[in-house]
Amino acid sequence: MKAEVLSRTDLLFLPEIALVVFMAVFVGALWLVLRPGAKQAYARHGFIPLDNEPNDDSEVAP
Amino acid sequence: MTQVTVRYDDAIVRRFALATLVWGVVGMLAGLWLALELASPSLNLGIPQIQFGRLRPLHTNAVIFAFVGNGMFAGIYYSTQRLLKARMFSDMLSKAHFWGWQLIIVSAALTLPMGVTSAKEYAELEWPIDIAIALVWVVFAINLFGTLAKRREKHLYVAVWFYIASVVTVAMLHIFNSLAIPVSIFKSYSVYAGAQDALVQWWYGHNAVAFFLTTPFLGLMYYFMPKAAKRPVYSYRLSIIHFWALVFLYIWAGPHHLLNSAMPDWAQSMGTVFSIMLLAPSWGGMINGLLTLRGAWDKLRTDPILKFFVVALTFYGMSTFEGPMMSLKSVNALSHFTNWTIAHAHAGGLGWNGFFIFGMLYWLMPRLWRTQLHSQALATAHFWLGLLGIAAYVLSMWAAGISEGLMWKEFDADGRLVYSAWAEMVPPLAAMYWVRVLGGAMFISGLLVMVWNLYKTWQSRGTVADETVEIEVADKPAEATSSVDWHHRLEGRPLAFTLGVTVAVAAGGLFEIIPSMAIKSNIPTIAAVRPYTPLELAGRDVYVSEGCVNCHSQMVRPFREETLRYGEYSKAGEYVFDRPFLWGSRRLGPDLQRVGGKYPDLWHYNHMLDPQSMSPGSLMPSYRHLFDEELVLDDIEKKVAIFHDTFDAPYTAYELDHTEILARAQAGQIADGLVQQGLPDVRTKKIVALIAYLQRLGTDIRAAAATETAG
Repeated sequence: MKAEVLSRTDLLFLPEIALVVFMAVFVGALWLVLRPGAKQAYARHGFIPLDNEPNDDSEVAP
Repeated sequence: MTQVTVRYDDAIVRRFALATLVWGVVGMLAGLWLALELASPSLNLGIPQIQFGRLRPLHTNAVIFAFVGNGMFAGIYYSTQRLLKARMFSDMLSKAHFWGWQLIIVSAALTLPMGVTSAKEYAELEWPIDIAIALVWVVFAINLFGTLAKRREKHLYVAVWFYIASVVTVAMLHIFNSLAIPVSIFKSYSVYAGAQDALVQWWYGHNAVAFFLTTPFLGLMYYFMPKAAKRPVYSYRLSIIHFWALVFLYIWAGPHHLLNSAMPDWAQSMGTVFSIMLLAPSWGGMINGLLTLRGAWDKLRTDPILKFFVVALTFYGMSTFEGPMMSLKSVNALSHFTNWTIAHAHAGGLGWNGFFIFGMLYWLMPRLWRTQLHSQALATAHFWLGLLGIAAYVLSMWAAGISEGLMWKEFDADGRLVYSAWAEMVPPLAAMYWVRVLGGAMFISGLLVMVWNLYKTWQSRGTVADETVEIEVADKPAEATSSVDWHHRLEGRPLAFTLGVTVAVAAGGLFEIIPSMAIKSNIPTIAAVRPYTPLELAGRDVYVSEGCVNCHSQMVRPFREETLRYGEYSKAGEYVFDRPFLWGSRRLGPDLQRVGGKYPDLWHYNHMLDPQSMSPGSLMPSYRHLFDEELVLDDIEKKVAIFHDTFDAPYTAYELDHTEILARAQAGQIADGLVQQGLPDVRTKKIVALIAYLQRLGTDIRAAAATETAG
């Protein structure tokens, strides 16, 4: 019964919903990182891998 | 602030790194041997266990899951601990992960040459090993998420996002694609059939490339590239866009492996559209990685590690440009089923994954052994050997692939196929197969140089111990509320983050696959298509076991050259009893979808015994062993019952009650015909079942056409 109902339903709207959700998240993420002040807020996170460790000779670029 | 001492578990990193080297050599040597078998088929040596069809999945599994897998785990275990400022959650789970994974690899290495396979590309392992993979993956996930829970760094660095996405998605892909009904310990049937199986398989196959070979390595790139360049990543903001766009888009692109096939057109178009969109985040990642070297490009002249990383990223960029181009239907019409696909896969595999792992190990191993790399010069020599090896490999396979595609499509002035016999198109490829052997040999030589270099490095090791660091932690962990926005808060909350990723990838999977499963019009029913007879089913299992799908497709595309060469183009409704689907991804020999009834049984008998006697110049090895091995029908009743009871195959009560008798009777019929032509009696041998299956292939649709004409 359930399979029969499903088989007669045009479920192709599902990918369209997903596409809209993706676009919304994508635009949201774009706004998030491009809005004023975001650059400074995020830049410091880029240094996390470069935290000096005892046997690590890596140095942060000036 | 409080001082805390953290001792990282580096032993587990060393274990995974060493396993990477061992399996890298094994997997690539298997690849080299396969290349030699195509250049000189006599090198199949008449040994069933190393013949192309059985050895090929061993090679792909070994390099993907053993070499790349262990390399990935080494990098993840090293970087995760340092990025989270915490030792792994449980040493016991780390060890269980390591030894469990090696056990799975050994199981694969033992079962695949024995012909135990599900025939699903990159998912060939049978159900007990599939369950083991799921369990070991859960161990890995618990260990990773446990470490996240006890971390001392509030912010989750972008590399960790990629690790989370990989862990979640690989679990989902593996479990859904591997769903099968077991017949015995070494045999199962996919719960999906035909076109649906194809869609699920390539949803898995494509995303195995995405979430096993790409996202974890992008995470590693975001950690090791800044470490090697001693600079932060070019743009952390770009990494956020890169991550979400990649995770959302990748999961949809699977159907681009099935273009111009019997898949519903909407699914094919969706595969193409998402593949083209993927170009943007892929190149965003590549650019972010390469520009991390801004102001330090001079180091590229002297530092072999950076050389490896930069070339790896360049190959990533090239492959992620080539992939979308091959996802255009018109380009795919030329490239699909040819060696062009092999060139594409190896540009990504050798160039991106291989070179990244090499660079990572050159950076990692001396640090883990508390010493300096034995020889920078040898590492540089490895780099050039590897790079020239990839060039020889990829260029030769591009040339071979385009040559094949063009030969398949060439018509003369009268509209006839110029190359009507398959064997006419094999000799022009021979030189390119030898160049590929040369390229592969160079790449492996480079790897052996690395093994030697690291061995010498190990000899000069210092006091090898887990690294211990003093870390300052706030007495009260900084709360996410101090962050500036919702994404910052999300980045500090692994569970919410994981949920977001799961929604992103699950949406792609479910919203793509549910319509294809549910909508009836996707797979129009063909009344004449009947289930396989018991003997044909047994023969199909032999076909699966021998890995015939690795060289022969069963998908006639709707092109003039294909319908002329093979016959009527394939319809989705023809495959409803095919578990697994056997459409294949490559034609080293001709398509077999319409081979049923094309030749007499005698031809197949001689061809399987000595392919070159029927098709001079053929690359196919002899299947002499099928003439010696007994046809075991002990479980045929159970197999037919599974098809009837579980998959609704319309077998009659008589067929269900007399399964073995019917199989023996059909075998006798074929064998009697062969005996009358002076051949030995093979009614009890595997070959008779295989002939029965081959003679059935694609014939139902002729019966349908005959009925329509008569009507």
